[in-house]
Amino acid sequence: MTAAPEARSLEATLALIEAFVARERGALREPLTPDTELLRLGLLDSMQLARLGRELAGAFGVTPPRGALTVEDFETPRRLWQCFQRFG
Amino acid sequence: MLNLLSTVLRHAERVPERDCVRLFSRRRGGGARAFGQVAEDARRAAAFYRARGVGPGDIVALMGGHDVGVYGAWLGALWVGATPVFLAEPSVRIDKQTYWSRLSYLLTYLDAKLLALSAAIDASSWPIKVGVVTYPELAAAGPGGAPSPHEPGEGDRMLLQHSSGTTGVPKGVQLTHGMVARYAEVTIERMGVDERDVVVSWLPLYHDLGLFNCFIIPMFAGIPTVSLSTFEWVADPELQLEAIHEHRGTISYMPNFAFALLAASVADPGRYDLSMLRGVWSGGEPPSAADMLAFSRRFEVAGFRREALQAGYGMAESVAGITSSGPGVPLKFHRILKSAWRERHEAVPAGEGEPAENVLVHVSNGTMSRGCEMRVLGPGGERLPPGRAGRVFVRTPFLFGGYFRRDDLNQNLFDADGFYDTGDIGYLDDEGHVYVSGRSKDLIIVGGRNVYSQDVEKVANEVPGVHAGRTVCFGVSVPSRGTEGAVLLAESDLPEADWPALAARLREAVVRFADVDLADVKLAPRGVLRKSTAGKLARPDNRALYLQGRFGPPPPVVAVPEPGAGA
Repeated sequence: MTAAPEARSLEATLALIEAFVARERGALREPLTPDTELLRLGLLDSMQLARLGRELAGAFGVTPPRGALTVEDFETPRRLWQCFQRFG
Repeated sequence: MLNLLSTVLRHAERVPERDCVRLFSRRRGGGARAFGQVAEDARRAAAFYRARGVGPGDIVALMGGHDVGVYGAWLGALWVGATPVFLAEPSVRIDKQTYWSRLSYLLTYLDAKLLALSAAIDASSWPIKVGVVTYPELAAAGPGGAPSPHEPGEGDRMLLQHSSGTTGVPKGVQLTHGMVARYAEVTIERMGVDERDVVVSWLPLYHDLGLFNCFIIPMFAGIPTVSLSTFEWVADPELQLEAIHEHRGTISYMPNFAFALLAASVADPGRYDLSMLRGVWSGGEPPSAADMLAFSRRFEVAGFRREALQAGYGMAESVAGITSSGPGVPLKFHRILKSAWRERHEAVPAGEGEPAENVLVHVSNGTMSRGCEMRVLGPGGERLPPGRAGRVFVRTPFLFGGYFRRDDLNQNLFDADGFYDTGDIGYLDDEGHVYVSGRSKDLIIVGGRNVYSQDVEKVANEVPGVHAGRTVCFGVSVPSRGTEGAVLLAESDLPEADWPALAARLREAVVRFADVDLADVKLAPRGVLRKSTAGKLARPDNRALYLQGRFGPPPPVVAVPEPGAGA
């Protein structure tokens, strides 16, 4: 079952990613934008990707096909949001 | 002497249809190469290399391990007597210019004759002077010009294995055909590898565990390797279970953090059948009892057997693993008294009735493999008895002879008895089990990958706003992720209001130029970081201050030892 449309908006996705990063890293210095480069800025490390992916799947109410995501898809919140919309 | 190339050519005659490699990828599709095809690929690659004038002793660099073509490209180099060396491919994150200049430097330093790479890597715009050829181009070469396979001597160099530091002069471990053959013989026997085995791996081939245990050993043994891309695995670790399930995998290797990650991230373990797995070896970073048991419990429902949990310890300087547990024997969990360990680094077995809060559990890395010896030495060089932790020295039948073109390092590699100082701290118990508990302080192992403090500090020193030379990087425990994290402390003359922005710039620079994710960054005014008596910044002292919260609270993922617990 997929989640309600508002849970799948770019804003909601951004909020979820922000909460995830803050939880892992401590307080964020500044709010994330849809185009914040999560990997290049060191906000998200390779061991956190899988867990963030799972949280997003839960929020979107989707199960991404095995191997549908790769490291590049975690580059920005917008790119993640676009990926998860496709899975819906 | 076992010879890898002639062994593979024999497999090609005996079992030409058997898979040598099968790719497991949902993105790029599968693909496989049987031993017969791999032998033919190698012959063609050899013809190509020969036409380019590559011969005995020359170096061929390779890049891209998750590719069916890598087998022929690599074996083709051995065919003409050349020395293959795997280099890391660019990551999506690292700065291109930095990567290119590092790569150019490495290729020049190695005097590589050619760079052979996966067709999935686009090197067309790379400013490098070495000729580039793709695996498919090698496999398409006419086989006519292939010489007869080079017959190596036992003492001839077979390959180079590079440590993963990003700055400074590289350290390439040189291994001979004899060393690799002896390693293969001992390891195949030790792990009980036989023709029914199937290895499943996502480890890169530029790391020793991936190169030897997931590439070379399976070729010696004539068994298939199911290969996953590291990049795909990181985004979706469950792929590994799917690969094991689908291809009836019997053996897998991974660093400790992967046990923790899989145990925590798989929603429905019951959908997999992992009952064929006879050994999942932890290697590359110290095993944690909690993470390994969490993995075992989580996948019991998938038929995973507790006795399939395994561990080993090793180093590139002695090919790869020199200890192993099992197989088929449950991993040993050594319950010791916390107090004796913390006060005098002594492992005193805890009695059955000892309350849990007084007990530490160490996971055994197994016992020494055949012909391998270990000595544990105290600060004065004296031999320590079982249970006492000290510096680990090893002597093995496949210990390296020196680093490539590093006469500066190659003078005193071994002590008078031929033992090599690993830089690790550990102990043996009275049954001969090996426990490695720490290491020299300038190496941090993040998810099985070696990170050198000086690499991170060098990058940080060049970030504007940082007081150059006043930075220090060290490792801390990140138990929730089953691994270590790198913390950076830096002094700055900027007003405190500018520190958050500076910390963000430091994080970014360290990712771009050293490809390291920092677990935390803290700034301090000039003069706060502690120096050693030699005037250098002291990593252990500053680490202790950091864990006490002197630079502000560490982030929630960092484990802060209880007071008095020591390092």
